[in-house]
Order: sequence, then C-alpha cells, then structure tokens
Amino acid sequence: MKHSPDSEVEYRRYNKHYGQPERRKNQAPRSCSRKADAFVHLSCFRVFSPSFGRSKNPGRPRLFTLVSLIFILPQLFFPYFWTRLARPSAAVVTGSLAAVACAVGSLFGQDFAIANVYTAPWFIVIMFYFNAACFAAAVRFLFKSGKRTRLALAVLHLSFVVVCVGVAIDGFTQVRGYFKTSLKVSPDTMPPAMGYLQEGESSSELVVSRNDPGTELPFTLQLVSFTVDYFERDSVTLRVGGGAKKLAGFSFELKGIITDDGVEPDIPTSSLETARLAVEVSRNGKGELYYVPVTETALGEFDIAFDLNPDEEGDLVSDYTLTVTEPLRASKYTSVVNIIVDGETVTEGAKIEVNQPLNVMGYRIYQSGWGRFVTMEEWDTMPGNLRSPGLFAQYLETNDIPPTSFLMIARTPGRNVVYAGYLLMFLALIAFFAVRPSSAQEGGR
Amino acid sequence: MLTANLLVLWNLVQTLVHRMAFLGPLSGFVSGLLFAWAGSFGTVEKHTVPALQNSFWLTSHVFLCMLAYVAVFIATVAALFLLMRRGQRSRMAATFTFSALAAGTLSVVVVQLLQFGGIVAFESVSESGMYSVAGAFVGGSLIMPLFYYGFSRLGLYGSSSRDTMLERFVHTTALIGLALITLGIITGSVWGDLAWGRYWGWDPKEVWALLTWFALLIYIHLRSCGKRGFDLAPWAIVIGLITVVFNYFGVNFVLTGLHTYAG
Ligand code: HEM
Repeated sequence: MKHSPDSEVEYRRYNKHYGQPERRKNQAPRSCSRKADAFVHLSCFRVFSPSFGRSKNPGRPRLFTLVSLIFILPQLFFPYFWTRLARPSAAVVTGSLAAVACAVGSLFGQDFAIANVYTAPWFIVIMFYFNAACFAAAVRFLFKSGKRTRLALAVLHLSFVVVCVGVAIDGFTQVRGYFKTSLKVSPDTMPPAMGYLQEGESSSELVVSRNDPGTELPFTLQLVSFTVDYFERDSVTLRVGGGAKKLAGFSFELKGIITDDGVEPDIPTSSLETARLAVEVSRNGKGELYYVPVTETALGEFDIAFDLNPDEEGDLVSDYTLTVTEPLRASKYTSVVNIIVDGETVTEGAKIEVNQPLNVMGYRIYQSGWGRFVTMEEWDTMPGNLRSPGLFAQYLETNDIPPTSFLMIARTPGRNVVYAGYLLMFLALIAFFAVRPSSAQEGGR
Repeated sequence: MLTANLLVLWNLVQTLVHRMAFLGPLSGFVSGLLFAWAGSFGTVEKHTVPALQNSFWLTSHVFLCMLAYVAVFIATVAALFLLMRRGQRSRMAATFTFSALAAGTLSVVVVQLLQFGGIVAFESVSESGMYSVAGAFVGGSLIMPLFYYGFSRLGLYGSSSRDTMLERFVHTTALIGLALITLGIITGSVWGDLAWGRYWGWDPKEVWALLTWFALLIYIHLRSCGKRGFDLAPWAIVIGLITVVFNYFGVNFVLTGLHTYAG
C-alpha cells in the first residue's frame, strides 16, 4: 500500500504527541524485540489454552501449563513483560478474532451460538487472552510517565478486566431457575408447565427445568396475591360493503361468505350454522383472504364475534356483522409475596413487578411471566371438548380461574464485581475526557 | 423531537471538544435527515410490554446508543474522506464505499416508497432488504464515477493542510462514539438485569452492539500499531457503521430474540 505524503504528516504529528512507536537510540534492534514479543505472547497463550481445552484430566493442569507458568511468573517482575503484552496490536488481533466469532455465531441463532461459540473453550481462551493484555496495558499505563491520560487509561483498562472477572465468577457459580410448583396445564402448554404459582401456593425449591428434582432454598416463598392489569381493547365492526377498517396495524374487510361459486354477500338461511365468512386481513398493503367459520371466536390473535339481525326474514340473510377485537395484552402484573425462613415470616407483603425484583438472602426474584392454567386433576376431569384453546379460554373466564405468576430466581455472586467494573469504567471515561488534551493543544493548527 | 436534540447536542459537543465548525453543520444535517427518516419506521407501540415501560435505564440505554450510532455515522463519513487521501487504492475503495453508502440510503428510501405507495408488494422484509443491499452495490458502482469526478474537481483527493485536522476529527468522534456505546451497553445491561435477571444474555441485538464497540475499539488501538495500522484504522469505523446498520435492519428482521419486539 502506498502512502500519500499527507498520511505521513498525520503520522508524524501523531508520534510527536504520543511519542510511541518511533524507536529510541538505545532500544534493541527490531528483530530482537520481535522475538521477545513472540516469547511473551506465546508463553501467556500456553498458560491459558490448555487449562480450557478438553483435556483427559479436567481440573488438573497439564505439565506444559506448569512449565509455562514457571517461565511466566518471574517475568511478571520485569517491565518489559508488561510492555510487550500490552501491545495495542494484542487488542486488535484478539478483539478482531472475538468480533468475527460473535458475528458468525449470531447468524446461527442465539441458542446455537451460546452453546458453540460464546461458551466454547476456544472463545474463552481468546477472551482470557484479551483480558490478560488489557490488564497488562492497565499496569503499563500506571507506570508510564509523561502521559496526561495515563491514570484514567489505567483505570479504564483495569475496569474492563474487572467486568470480565465478574462475568467469569458468575460463569462458575451462578444459580438460575424458577420455583418448583405443582404442574399446571392449558391447551397451549403441552407438556404441563412448572413454575407457575397460584395465589396461596408456596415453594422452597429451585429447579432449572421441569424434570429437575430441585434444590432446597434457604427460604420459602408464598404467593399472597397476583394481579394482572390489561390494556383497553379497541374493536371494529365489519359489514359487507362497509370497506376495510383498521385495527392495531392491520386492516380488516368483510367480503361476504364463501360458496361454491365464489364469494357471495348474502347467507342462505339454511346454512347459517355452517357458513364461512371471507375476511381479508392486510398489513402494509399486503392482504390475505381468510375463510372463517361463523362459529369461530378467534382470528389469529384477534377475538371475533359473529352477529346477525334477529328481525331479518327470508331465505337470505344480508344484515350481519363481524366484530373484531384486539388481543388482550397485559399492561402490568404484580406479585405480592411473603418470605418465610424457619417457619417465621421475615418479609410480609413484598411486591415484585417487572423491572422491580426482590432481594432475598443473596437471591434475586424477578417477575418473569404469567399464565392461566388449571391443575392436572382439573384437566383430567375436564370434558374433552373444553381442551381446545378457544373453549378453554371461555372455561377460564366463566369459572373465574385466577392467573398464575411465574417468578424467576437468580443468584449471581459476580454481579457486584461486574457493577463495580461498570462504575470504574464510567468514572474512567469521564476522567479520560476531562484530562485529554483538546485538539487545539494537541497539535496546533 | 429526539433527532433535533441529537443534532443540537452533537454540535455542542463538537464546538466544545474540537473547536471545529466546518464539519458540524454538514454532518449534523445529513445524520439528522437519516435518523429522522429511520425514526419514522418505528411506529409508537400502543401496547408496550411491561418490561419496556418507563425505566430510567432503558431510556438512557436507547438514548446513549442512538447518540453513539450518530457518532459512528459521522465518524464514518469523515473517515471515508480521510481514506480518500491515502494513496490510489485507498482512494478508490473509499470513494466506492461512499457511493455505496449513498446509493444504499437512496435504495432503502425508494424501496419503502414503492412498498408504502402500494406499487410493489415485497414478500418479506428480508426480501426488500435484499433489494436495498443490491441497490447499494449496483447503484454505488453506477454513481461512483460521478462522485469520483466531483470529488477530484472539489480537490478532496489532493493534499491539504486540513488533513491532520480531519484525522483528529475522526479520532475524537470515534473516541466519543466508543464512550457513548460503552455507556449505552452498560445501561442496557443494568436494565436487562432488572427486567430479566441477567446483565448479559447474548441476545443478537446485544451482540451486534458489542460488535460496534469492538469496531471502535479496534480503530483506536489500530491507530497505535505502526504506520500500516494507522493508515488502515479508519476502515474499522466503516465496519462499525455496517454493524450499526445491520443492528437496525438485519437483527430486527433476519435474526430473532428478546429485542425484536418491534417486528
Ligand atoms: C487487549 C486489550 C487492550 C490492550 C492491549 C490495550 C492497549 C492500549 C494501549 C497500548 C493504548 C495506548 C495507545 C496510545 O497511546 O496511542 C491504549 C489506548 C486506549 N485504550 Fe486500550 N487496550 C486494550 C483494551 C482496551 C479496552 C477494552 C478499552 C475500552 C474500554 C480500551 C480503551 C482504550 C482507550 C480509550 C485508549 C485511548 C486511545 C487514544 O487516546 O487514542 N482499551 N490501549
């Protein structure tokens, strides 16, 4: 690549300011420093990589690791070690590797990427190495004189390592799951769901999946009450020839009923029970025709109700409507809980909402979801025809079945370390910009 | 609204930090247009799910990330003009990237107009996205000679004493962008912790914000990797813009995850 003279000017200006890669007279020749570089980086890499590889004896460091460690430990006391490891090129190379891995991984879907990229040994090695270099950079900044931003940069580079240490602690020790409860059923959740608490129900065990036997928690949680608030629902009433009506980003148009000859506006009285309505549903200018039985109560997520004028007589019914109602959406859900330790209620009536978790003895309890279910016994004794989604919803409503609350439990000991890192990073960034030479001071014009 | 605030704030930051007025209004205007238009996409959701309702962390997260993306956009445009002065090959590549950026923006607008005007109905959002990307490359190749001619007539390829100033501008903008995206990721992480009990979950939107962060990080460190690195560094910002664009369009429509409530 050729360089224009201008780039030369910039580069020299840049060197003047930072005094960085221009070599000084008494510095070792380039080939020598390259070797030192290679030695430092390779020996560090050797320390990190085998302990994460799938060795036959996991947990026991291999001989090679030990030897590398013996090489590395004394080096820690020599400044050249930190200078070599703290090369910005280390950030560029490991950063690029991690970035490419993340980008490719994300294209394969979140779950796949978590299993095969973000938690894979090789990825952890890259991140480990990135952190080692970052830490070295922090140490180097600390002892490097003559740079106004050195303290801020030392803290900034250190803070990133602190965050990663927190994440690593969580990686080894975090506990995450939900409460062990009785199994509950609805037509949408087959097999039955676990973790949904009914009002009055209590639990003192944590599970990570439905088949998990459960781990004992140091406290018992009892759900006192659970309330769900809903958004108001809009609806539109459609008539044949009434044109399209808009609702929640969709537009609906009732065309008539479907017959052998196509779409007709009127319904023969004889087939009132079995007629199928032709409804065009469109979004962003793209429409699709749906054939909906008049007995149906749902069109996708929307509730629908067919209605006809009872006074109308004759062979053909022409005065009928279809009312389409927005899906029911929760605007807020709130659990009120008691926390019981050794038979004593230590916390009474604590509120848990989305975005407002509850802290209990190092565990955090989050409002994560909700649902409407019946118990297994109720399900088994229910008439079979009620087990379809539409009729089940009606059953829940008419029998006044209360909603159940899904609470998540997390114990993340590294969280405080991560947050400490965030705080350091925030302060360091502010300090960095506060002491950084402004462009006028930097080079002059 | 938000865009206007961003503009005012941005020009303020510029005047304070670099005391350079010449690029401010221009880049501010362009980015303002772009973001006003991008903002018109996301219709205000009436039924916001509870996790998204008025949280301080969420609001700061969105605001900081938006600011960071504006910074990346401005830095990219400036970086391209910088790259146009670094040798013949770099000049061609930067001019082409600039043309593709312009053509890409134009084709997204055209595709949306066609769709909302009901003239063309695309099968899916990814299909219309594909046309936009194709438009960027084809259109970019077509208009590149025009830009090339225009830029050389304007003297943008020649050397001028402004070059170090431009370099400084790119550097400062990228640093500010890095700070903003760092804070944006941190606030988002705190919000995620409150809402779902995890401060990081490898959600595609998170990952792509992290990639923007990496791109800027690579830029500032590549600047210190010798002459070659110094010359190549601005390309990292250009890649940063690509990650931003992908985060906006690709992640919402191609990948799925917690953040994709809008699509
Ligand atoms: C592998 C890890 C890293 C290494 C080896 C490293 C090394 C360095 C070095 C040597 C410099 C000085 C460059 C110069 O004086 O021109 C530097 C600057 C800087 N680094 Fe890092 N760094 C690493 C990671 C990070 C991370 C994770 C962050 C962000 C949180 C960061 C933010 C910065 C900033 C803001 C500067 C100042 C850049 C400037 O003034 O142009 N670095 N880094």
